[in-house]
Amino acid sequence: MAMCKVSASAPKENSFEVSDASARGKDILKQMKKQILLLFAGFVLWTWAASATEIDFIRCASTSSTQNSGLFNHILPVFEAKTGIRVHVIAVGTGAALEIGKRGDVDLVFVHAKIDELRMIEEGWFKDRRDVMYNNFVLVGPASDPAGLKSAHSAGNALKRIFETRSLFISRGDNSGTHKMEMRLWAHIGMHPGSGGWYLESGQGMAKTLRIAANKNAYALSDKGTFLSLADRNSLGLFVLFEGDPLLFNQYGVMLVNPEKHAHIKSRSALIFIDWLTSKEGQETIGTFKDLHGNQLFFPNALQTNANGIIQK
Amino acid sequence: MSFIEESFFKAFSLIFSVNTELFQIIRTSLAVSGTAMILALLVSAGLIYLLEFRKFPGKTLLITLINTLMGLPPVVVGLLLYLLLSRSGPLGVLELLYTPTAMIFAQAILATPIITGLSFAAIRSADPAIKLAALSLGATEFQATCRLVLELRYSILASVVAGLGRLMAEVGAVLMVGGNIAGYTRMMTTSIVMEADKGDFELAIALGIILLLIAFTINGALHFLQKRT
Amino acid sequence: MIKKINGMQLEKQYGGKTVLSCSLQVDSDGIFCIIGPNGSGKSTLLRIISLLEKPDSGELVIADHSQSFVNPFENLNLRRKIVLVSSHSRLFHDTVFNNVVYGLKLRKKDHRNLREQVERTVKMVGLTHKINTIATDLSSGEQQRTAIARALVLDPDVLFLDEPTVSLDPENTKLIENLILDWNKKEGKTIVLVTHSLFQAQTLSDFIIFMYQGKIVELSETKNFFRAPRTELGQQFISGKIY
Repeated sequence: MAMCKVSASAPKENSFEVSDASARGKDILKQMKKQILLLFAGFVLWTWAASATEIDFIRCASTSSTQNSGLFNHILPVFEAKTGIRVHVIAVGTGAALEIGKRGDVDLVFVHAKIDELRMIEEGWFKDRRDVMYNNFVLVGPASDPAGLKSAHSAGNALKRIFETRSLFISRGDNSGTHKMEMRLWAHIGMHPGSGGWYLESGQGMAKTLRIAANKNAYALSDKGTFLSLADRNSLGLFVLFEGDPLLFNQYGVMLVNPEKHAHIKSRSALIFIDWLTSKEGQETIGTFKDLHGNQLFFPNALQTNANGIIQK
Repeated sequence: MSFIEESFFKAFSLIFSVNTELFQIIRTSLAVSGTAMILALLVSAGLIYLLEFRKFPGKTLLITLINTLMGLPPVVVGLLLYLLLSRSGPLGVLELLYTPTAMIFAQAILATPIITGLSFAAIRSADPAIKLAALSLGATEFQATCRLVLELRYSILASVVAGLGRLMAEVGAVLMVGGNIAGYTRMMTTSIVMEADKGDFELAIALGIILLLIAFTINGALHFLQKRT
Repeated sequence: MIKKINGMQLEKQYGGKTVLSCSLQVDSDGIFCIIGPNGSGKSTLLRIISLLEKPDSGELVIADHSQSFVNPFENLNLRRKIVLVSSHSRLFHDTVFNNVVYGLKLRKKDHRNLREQVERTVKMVGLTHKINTIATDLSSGEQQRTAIARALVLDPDVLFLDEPTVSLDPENTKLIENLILDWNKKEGKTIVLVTHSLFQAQTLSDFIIFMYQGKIVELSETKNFFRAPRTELGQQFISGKIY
């Protein structure tokens, strides 16, 4: 009696077939899901396999000014083709680069704060330092030039005018090579800008600091290379307002992390790189580097300044 | 053409020209994030198993910790991992700093609390009748929870998507422990930061568009899987 | 085959309030109906004897297996011989087929020949045309029939039902009652059922377990209970004076 009622509401055989077919469709989808997962796993493996072909490399902590300008893209392929050594560049501020070097996280540093560099060699953190190249620091600012930097007769005088007119100035404030130079200049004229009001610290890299200065119509101290190499420099509205004082000389140097402090340093390969950078070939390669706008940003000077020293191996 | 239009135009022509540098950056991003995701999923599964089935001292603390870590600032992870992996740090001998492996760890650390926290919350707030139904049909505790996870696949998938989103968008931590080394640890996000710094907005925008497309594809694929279960 | 369910001094408290304190002896097959006013502990008793809930104290012996209750889920083999269907069964967000096959898959290592078994049971509850529909999208009557199918396909020694037809329309109620009766007749297995409907208890069951305030007041044959309850409380319950 009861079964009668139940089976009365059951469908005919053919609709049963239909539902069975759609069940099979479901199984196919289930398999597809597996395939998608397999595909994903295979993809991850492939991406790894492709990047696993790593060769001998050394690590170099450097500054964003050298990296962002494109210098490394220009010189490293030449070096790698010649020696088979790849250089991994970690670009940070000079202060941070020196710290990373002291911790032994890189094999060599390529920075621009010669006084600090020499001090740290004395402290035993680094060795085998070479001058490599130089450029200059410049003071940049808006076209209106409210402090009259264009007619300043020295770097100290230029900063003094900014100080006295309380014109907006953006400092790096990050212990970088540029920041250290700025601090030296203030000390040279015996003034303490303090912070707040017209004097702001960005705590950022050179490029970001320049963008802040551009947006605020403010002055800033920059290495000429970074300023010239900004791809959108023409639309920023910043201009070089003072340059040429010998005080603004910006020496880049390279030095090895002291293997006595960090035994794992790849000193042999790193020294080959230092050797090459300061060789005739390396110097010429640096000299031929031009930025997007066709400017030469770095001027090799290793052959002159290092004449009386040969790197010990 | 305005500046922005021009940048976008150049960005698109960059994407469609086969640029090996761009390709390498994308590949590094996918390899690192893909591996980090797998790692995060495995660790999350283990953590959820512990929280659900094991009694141990400090369990409540662990749950609170996981929930706190969901909002962990990436740079803090980057800093801690840097100090750990640095040659002068306790794990320096592993030589992992400035490698893709270090970036995988950083990303996995960021994604795991999100996946674990959200999934576990979903499991905890689920209708207890689901588990009871599975138990009454003869499931073990473990099987019943597996069934529950299957029932909650939408919310769990959502937590995975949230974790993936965090991981793909992350820049602070991978920059610190990866070093943004060209051709090695340079990823889409770190590259965007650098190119924007340089004023090379075309490449930055091109990378941004690709990042968006990848996120869109992944979400679309997950949505597809979700619909078909 | 399980014929014996013995509960000795089973006690359960919720928030300091005793909801169950009773002993129970079932030694025969047939359909047992647990009836009683709201809050008399019917569902609690059902969940305890179906091994899904742990009593605070007491002893339970099912088919000569003493249940220690250290962990109510530990005796998996025994637990897999009994099934509980609750009032508003929570189906899985999956097809009817997958809902019904779930318990089978848990029990059998070989998952190949399950389809026929599932299809037979789904046909029995009249849902063949919906076998690939997502179960949670079905009407409440169809959902409850799926829940019954999910239990019957396992061929349990004892089937526990907690108000299986509550808030269902008359047609579905009748369908489900017939399913229960047929299954009992065909397989000769024990069914324990909680119900609010005296009519259902009278038409379905062989024995009545009458509960009041957490205690079993009467356990007697159905026809005897409804003809002449042995207790005053039973009399009052039948005549609708307590509910």
